[in-house]
Amino acid sequence: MTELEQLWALRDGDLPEAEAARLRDRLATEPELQALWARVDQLALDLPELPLDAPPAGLNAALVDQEPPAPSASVDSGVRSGRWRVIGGMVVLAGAAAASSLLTQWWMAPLDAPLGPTMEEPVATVPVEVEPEVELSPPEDRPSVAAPREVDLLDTGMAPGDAMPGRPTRQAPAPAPVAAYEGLPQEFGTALVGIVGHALGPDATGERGYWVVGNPLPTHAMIGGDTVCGTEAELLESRRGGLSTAVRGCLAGVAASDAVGARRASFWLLGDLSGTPKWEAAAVRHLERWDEQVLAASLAHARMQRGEPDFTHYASLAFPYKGRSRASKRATTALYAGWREAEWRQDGGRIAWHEAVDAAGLWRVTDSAGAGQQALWGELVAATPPPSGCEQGMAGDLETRANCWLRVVEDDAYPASLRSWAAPQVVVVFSGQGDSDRQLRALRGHLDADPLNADVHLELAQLLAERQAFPEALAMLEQAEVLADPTAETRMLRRRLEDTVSGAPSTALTPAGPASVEVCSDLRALEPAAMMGRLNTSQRACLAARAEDAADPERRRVALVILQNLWSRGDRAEWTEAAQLELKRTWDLDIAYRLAVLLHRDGGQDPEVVALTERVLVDGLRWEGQTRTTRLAKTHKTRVAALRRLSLTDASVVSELQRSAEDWHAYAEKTGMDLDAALAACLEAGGSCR
Amino acid sequence: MNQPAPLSTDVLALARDGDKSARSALLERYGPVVWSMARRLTPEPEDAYQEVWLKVFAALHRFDPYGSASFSTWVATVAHRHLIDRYRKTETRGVVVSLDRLGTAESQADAHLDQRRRLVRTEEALRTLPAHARRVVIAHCLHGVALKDIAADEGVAVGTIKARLHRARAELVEKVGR
Repeated sequence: MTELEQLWALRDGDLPEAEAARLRDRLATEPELQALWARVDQLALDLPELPLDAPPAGLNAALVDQEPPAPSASVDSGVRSGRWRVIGGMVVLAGAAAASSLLTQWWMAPLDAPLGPTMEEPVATVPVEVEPEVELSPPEDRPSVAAPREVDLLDTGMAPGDAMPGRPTRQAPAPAPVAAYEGLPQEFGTALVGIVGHALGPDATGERGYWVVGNPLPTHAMIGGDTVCGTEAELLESRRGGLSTAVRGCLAGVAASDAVGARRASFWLLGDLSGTPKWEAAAVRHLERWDEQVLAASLAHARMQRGEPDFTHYASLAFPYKGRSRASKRATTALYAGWREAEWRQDGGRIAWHEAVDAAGLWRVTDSAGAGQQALWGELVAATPPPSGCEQGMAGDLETRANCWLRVVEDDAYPASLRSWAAPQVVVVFSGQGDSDRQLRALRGHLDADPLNADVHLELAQLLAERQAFPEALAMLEQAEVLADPTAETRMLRRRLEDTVSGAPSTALTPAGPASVEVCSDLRALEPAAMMGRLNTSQRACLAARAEDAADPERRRVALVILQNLWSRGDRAEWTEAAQLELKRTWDLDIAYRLAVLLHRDGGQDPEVVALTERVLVDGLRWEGQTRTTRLAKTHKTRVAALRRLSLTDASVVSELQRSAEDWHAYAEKTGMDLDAALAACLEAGGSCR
Repeated sequence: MNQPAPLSTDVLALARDGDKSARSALLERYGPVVWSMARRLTPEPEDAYQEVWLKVFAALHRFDPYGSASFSTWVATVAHRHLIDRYRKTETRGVVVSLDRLGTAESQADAHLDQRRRLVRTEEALRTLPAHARRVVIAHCLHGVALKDIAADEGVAVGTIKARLHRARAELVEKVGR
């Protein structure tokens, strides 16, 4: 017995007393066991809370309308009697002989129809044959069968290639049900009762008899109220496309009705029509009434192979397909990629670009691996509609092409994925030409399209530094440092920038030096120096004194100037201390955010990071636009990382880690940011993140 | 436990006599009990649901409203028994499952509610249990069917059922918590 099993046994009082006592002792001292116990407790609370779902509409109505059955001997609240097992055995024996021919047909029938028609094959059961002495007229002679095959009740009127006007409605068409085998059910059922009764003895006819009369042959023949379309043997002919005209007509009638068995009737028909030109029309009609992903996939596949554009509609019905086999996943994934690609083409290659590319990315799960993706990607790029005025330019010389692509990069009407793809190539071209203006434009466009890309921030910071736009370069560098852990490259750039700034002469880009400000009364005058981290000792002391003075109306602004100066000087330890002090005085969202990120990076203060991020995630909703998205994503990430580290030593945060990882994943999914990392964290934390 | 409120004995008596509105009331109130079991334990819940109710209606006269079991538990016991029968049949014959029936609970989940998320995970974990283990957990833990009744239906000793239950729930804890 595993530990968990023992805990459950303890909970249920099923553990021997001595063993239970030992386990209780361990529970009192072992935190790991306590954590397990908490999970056991939680599940014990959760299980009874699993929802009770209402049955689908229509099921209850059908039941209420059933005639009340005769009281059954088979149901009681006590222990099952052995008698029914004997009877069950007799059923098997009685049916075995009659079954043999049908089962032979069953297994020998070709499994030819892909996906759709075979997906709801009826299970083989003990068949019950109508004995010869029961007079049944042959199906063709039965008077009320109104739909011979030639009439084609399944004809939807759709010509191949007709566009589907949106998702089909689920409203059932309402031709009158065909009252096939009029007058038959009672006789038919009686006949079956006779046979079954003969096989099982008089006690058996109660339940079985009702079953046959009230709902004749529910699985295998026809269940459409009292409509019986044929014997099981007749219906099994559908496996080889051999339904008689009468049975087919009857099934079509039931399929078109609102009867409980309509869906099953439709499947019988689909099986019968498999491999014929009419199968598609039948499938279309079926999908107009019922959600059937596998059938939709099959239909989409057939139409895609013929190049009919409406295949995308059926592919959309089929996806996402919760298939079990790898083959079915491959098939529907390929369909999905095709569907998105087709949408993209219909849309002129703009809006659905990224979706087509994402779809192509899904090909990674298929055997065609990167080939499909590469092919589609290249095709998409080649087919991109050029910016106006660039109709010829996209195919011109290198510089002309680069200029046209630069316009794509800067145009937010183009999908972000395309702009991000094109930007580095534009930068390379203009870098070779020494054209930093256009490099800058391309990088800014890239950043606009991919604001969480730390590499782009760094590259932009380097370019800005080269252009001596130091404050902007520093700000960009800070962003890069926030988005990703510092690298040798970022550290080097920071040192270079700080050295340059400290030794740089006063230029248009550098603010007035601290020497010109002797006191700290004029905060506006101090701010530029603080931005550069160049406040002198006396100014800092003056500001520190003002920050302590609660009566100072500018106290808060003073604190911000101090923090800015410390941050710009790169004095992280002092900044952290000042920020913590300031947060104790006044809550500040921006400071809290930065502090959380910094504390996490430095490590060792995870509880504080967790506390800070919790509040930042709430208050962060005040941020707006891209800042909000970027910072909240970073906050989620920081929180999860801190909790993960904490969970190594503190099991009580495991559930919080799960929740936070799920929140991060949900946020990333919602905003389209850093989904891979969020998903990985969520999965690792055991969260629910599908 | 998710149990519907008790029903008056009048309604039961009327339903036993075939009164449609009384049966409708039974279905309305206890339908979810049967449906929840059916959808969790069989790939053909619609058929199973109807079959169970036909049995329940046929056996209403056997239910003792003053007995120890509530009507809900009694219905769950009947349902459990019937679903075992169905399982045994499909186990020997095999069945082709319509895949679109799987995963309904997930779509209803509100991902922002902790408990809901946990329940969704529990539901998912339940689906991965072996059939015999799933039956025990669902019948006993969700619907309150007595272990001795489950043991009788399954044709095994109560101790075996308890062992299955402990093992199944241990597996659930691991799967839900991962």
